[in-house]
Amino acid sequence: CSKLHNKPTFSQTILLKNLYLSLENSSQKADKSFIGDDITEERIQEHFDDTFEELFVELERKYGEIEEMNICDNLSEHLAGNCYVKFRFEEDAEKAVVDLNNRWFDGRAVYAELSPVTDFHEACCR
Amino acid sequence: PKDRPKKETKVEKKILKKYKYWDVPPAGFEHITPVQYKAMQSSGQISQIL
Repeated sequence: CSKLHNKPTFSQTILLKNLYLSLENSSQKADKSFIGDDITEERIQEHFDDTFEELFVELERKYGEIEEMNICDNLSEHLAGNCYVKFRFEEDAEKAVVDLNNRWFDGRAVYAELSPVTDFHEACCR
Repeated sequence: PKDRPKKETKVEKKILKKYKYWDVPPAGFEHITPVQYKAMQSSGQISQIL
Protein backbone atom coordinates (compact mmCIF):
# COMPACT_ATOMS: atom_id res chain seq x y z
CA CYS A 1 0.00 0.00 0.00
CA SER A 2 1.30 3.44 -0.86
CA LYS A 3 -0.47 5.15 2.02
CA LEU A 4 1.28 5.92 5.23
CA HIS A 5 0.09 3.60 7.95
CA ASN A 6 0.83 4.44 11.52
CA LYS A 7 1.04 1.42 13.71
CA PRO A 8 -0.58 1.99 17.07
CA THR A 9 1.13 1.24 20.36
CA PHE A 10 -2.08 0.05 21.96
CA SER A 11 -5.07 -1.45 20.25
CA GLN A 12 -7.75 -4.05 20.75
CA THR A 13 -7.38 -5.06 17.14
CA ILE A 14 -4.66 -7.13 15.56
CA LEU A 15 -3.83 -7.75 11.94
CA LEU A 16 -2.61 -11.10 10.68
CA LYS A 17 -1.15 -10.30 7.30
CA ASN A 18 -1.98 -12.44 4.26
CA LEU A 19 -3.04 -15.22 6.56
CA TYR A 20 -5.76 -16.81 4.51
CA LEU A 21 -4.85 -18.27 1.17
CA SER A 22 -8.14 -18.85 -0.57
CA LEU A 23 -8.65 -22.07 -2.43
CA GLU A 24 -10.24 -19.91 -5.09
CA ASN A 25 -7.24 -17.65 -5.60
CA SER A 26 -4.73 -20.43 -5.48
CA SER A 27 -6.50 -22.66 -7.95
CA GLN A 28 -8.36 -20.42 -10.36
CA LYS A 29 -7.27 -19.94 -13.93
CA ALA A 30 -7.47 -16.65 -15.83
CA ASP A 31 -10.79 -17.64 -17.41
CA LYS A 32 -12.27 -18.15 -13.93
CA SER A 33 -12.48 -21.90 -14.28
CA PHE A 34 -10.74 -24.01 -11.69
CA ILE A 35 -7.61 -26.07 -12.12
CA GLY A 36 -8.91 -29.17 -10.37
CA ASP A 37 -12.31 -30.66 -11.18
CA ASP A 38 -12.96 -31.27 -7.52
CA ILE A 39 -12.86 -27.58 -6.66
CA THR A 40 -16.37 -26.21 -6.44
CA GLU A 41 -18.01 -23.18 -4.87
CA GLU A 42 -19.06 -25.42 -2.00
CA ARG A 43 -15.54 -26.62 -1.37
CA ILE A 44 -14.21 -23.07 -1.40
CA GLN A 45 -16.83 -22.03 1.15
CA GLU A 46 -16.14 -25.09 3.26
CA HIS A 47 -12.41 -24.41 3.22
CA PHE A 48 -13.05 -20.81 4.26
CA ASP A 49 -15.44 -21.84 7.04
CA ASP A 50 -12.98 -24.40 8.37
CA THR A 51 -10.15 -21.91 8.40
CA PHE A 52 -12.27 -19.21 10.02
CA GLU A 53 -13.48 -21.58 12.73
CA GLU A 54 -10.05 -22.92 13.50
CA LEU A 55 -8.63 -19.42 13.75
CA PHE A 56 -11.43 -18.13 15.93
CA VAL A 57 -11.47 -21.09 18.30
CA GLU A 58 -7.74 -21.10 18.91
CA LEU A 59 -7.38 -17.31 19.18
CA GLU A 60 -10.16 -17.07 21.73
CA ARG A 61 -9.01 -20.13 23.66
CA LYS A 62 -5.42 -19.02 23.91
CA TYR A 63 -5.50 -15.22 24.01
CA GLY A 64 -8.91 -14.02 25.16
CA GLU A 65 -12.42 -13.01 24.25
CA ILE A 66 -12.93 -11.86 20.68
CA GLU A 67 -15.46 -9.18 19.77
CA GLU A 68 -15.16 -9.38 16.03
CA MET A 69 -13.14 -11.12 13.40
CA ASN A 70 -12.90 -10.50 9.66
CA ILE A 71 -10.97 -12.00 6.81
CA CYS A 72 -10.43 -9.77 3.77
CA ASP A 73 -11.84 -10.85 0.46
CA ASN A 74 -9.77 -8.24 -1.38
CA LEU A 75 -7.29 -9.42 -3.93
CA SER A 76 -4.63 -6.71 -3.84
CA GLU A 77 -1.36 -8.00 -2.49
CA HIS A 78 -1.31 -6.04 0.76
CA LEU A 79 -4.87 -7.02 1.66
CA ALA A 80 -5.29 -10.53 0.33
CA GLY A 81 -6.25 -12.88 3.11
CA ASN A 82 -5.64 -10.29 5.81
CA CYS A 83 -7.33 -11.28 9.01
CA TYR A 84 -8.44 -8.62 11.53
CA VAL A 85 -9.26 -9.71 15.03
CA LYS A 86 -10.75 -7.36 17.58
CA PHE A 87 -10.28 -8.54 21.14
CA ARG A 88 -12.29 -7.31 24.07
CA PHE A 89 -9.14 -6.29 25.92
CA GLU A 90 -6.03 -4.51 24.71
CA GLU A 91 -3.80 -6.73 26.84
CA ASP A 92 -5.05 -9.80 25.03
CA ALA A 93 -4.33 -8.24 21.67
CA GLU A 94 -0.81 -7.36 22.74
CA LYS A 95 -0.19 -10.84 24.10
CA ALA A 96 -1.56 -12.37 20.91
CA VAL A 97 0.72 -10.35 18.63
CA VAL A 98 3.85 -11.37 20.53
CA ASP A 99 2.95 -15.03 20.63
CA LEU A 100 1.53 -15.32 17.10
CA ASN A 101 4.72 -13.98 15.56
CA ASN A 102 6.24 -17.21 16.85
CA ARG A 103 3.73 -19.53 15.26
CA TRP A 104 2.99 -21.21 11.95
CA PHE A 105 -0.36 -21.33 10.22
CA ASP A 106 -1.08 -23.55 7.25
CA GLY A 107 2.53 -23.90 6.21
CA ARG A 108 3.38 -20.22 6.57
CA ALA A 109 4.86 -17.99 9.24
CA VAL A 110 2.30 -15.72 10.92
CA TYR A 111 2.89 -11.98 10.54
CA ALA A 112 1.03 -10.27 13.38
CA GLU A 113 0.84 -6.61 14.35
CA LEU A 114 -1.48 -4.21 16.15
CA SER A 115 -3.96 -2.49 13.85
CA PRO A 116 -5.65 0.91 14.23
CA VAL A 117 -8.96 -0.43 12.92
CA THR A 118 -11.73 -0.36 15.51
CA ASP A 119 -14.82 -0.07 13.36
CA PHE A 120 -14.77 -2.50 10.46
CA HIS A 121 -17.53 -0.70 8.59
CA GLU A 122 -15.44 2.42 8.45
CA ALA A 123 -12.22 0.64 7.60
CA CYS A 124 -10.33 1.71 4.54
CA CYS A 125 -6.78 2.75 3.73
CA ARG A 126 -6.09 6.33 4.67
CA PRO B 1 -42.07 -32.73 47.06
CA LYS B 2 -40.40 -29.70 45.62
CA ASP B 3 -39.40 -29.76 42.05
CA ARG B 4 -35.76 -30.32 41.90
CA PRO B 5 -33.80 -28.99 39.04
CA LYS B 6 -33.18 -31.72 36.56
CA LYS B 7 -29.94 -33.37 37.14
CA GLU B 8 -27.61 -32.81 34.32
CA THR B 9 -26.96 -36.21 32.99
CA LYS B 10 -25.30 -35.16 29.84
CA VAL B 11 -21.87 -33.92 30.53
CA GLU B 12 -20.98 -32.48 27.23
CA LYS B 13 -17.48 -33.40 26.63
CA LYS B 14 -15.79 -30.99 24.40
CA ILE B 15 -13.68 -33.00 22.13
CA LEU B 16 -10.73 -30.94 21.18
CA LYS B 17 -10.48 -31.28 17.47
CA LYS B 18 -7.04 -31.61 16.13
CA TYR B 19 -6.17 -28.52 14.16
CA LYS B 20 -5.53 -28.76 10.45
CA TYR B 21 -3.76 -25.44 10.06
CA TRP B 22 -2.33 -24.19 13.34
CA ASP B 23 1.36 -24.79 13.92
CA VAL B 24 1.91 -26.47 10.57
CA PRO B 25 5.34 -25.38 9.33
CA PRO B 26 6.25 -25.13 5.66
CA ALA B 27 7.60 -28.41 4.31
CA GLY B 28 11.33 -28.59 4.79
CA PHE B 29 11.42 -25.89 7.47
CA GLU B 30 10.30 -27.94 10.44
CA HIS B 31 13.64 -27.47 12.18
CA ILE B 32 13.61 -23.66 12.32
CA THR B 33 11.38 -21.18 14.14
CA PRO B 34 8.87 -18.88 12.44
CA VAL B 35 11.05 -15.94 13.50
CA GLN B 36 14.09 -17.43 11.78
CA TYR B 37 11.96 -18.19 8.74
CA LYS B 38 10.75 -14.60 8.50
CA ALA B 39 14.31 -13.34 8.81
CA MET B 40 15.20 -15.55 5.84
CA GLN B 41 12.26 -14.12 3.92
CA SER B 42 13.25 -10.55 4.61
CA SER B 43 16.87 -11.19 3.64
CA GLY B 44 15.69 -12.69 0.37
CA GLN B 45 16.95 -16.22 1.02
CA ILE B 46 13.45 -17.59 0.57
CA SER B 47 10.46 -16.12 -1.22
CA GLN B 48 8.05 -13.72 0.44
CA ILE B 49 4.66 -14.76 1.69
CA LEU B 50 2.69 -16.42 -1.12
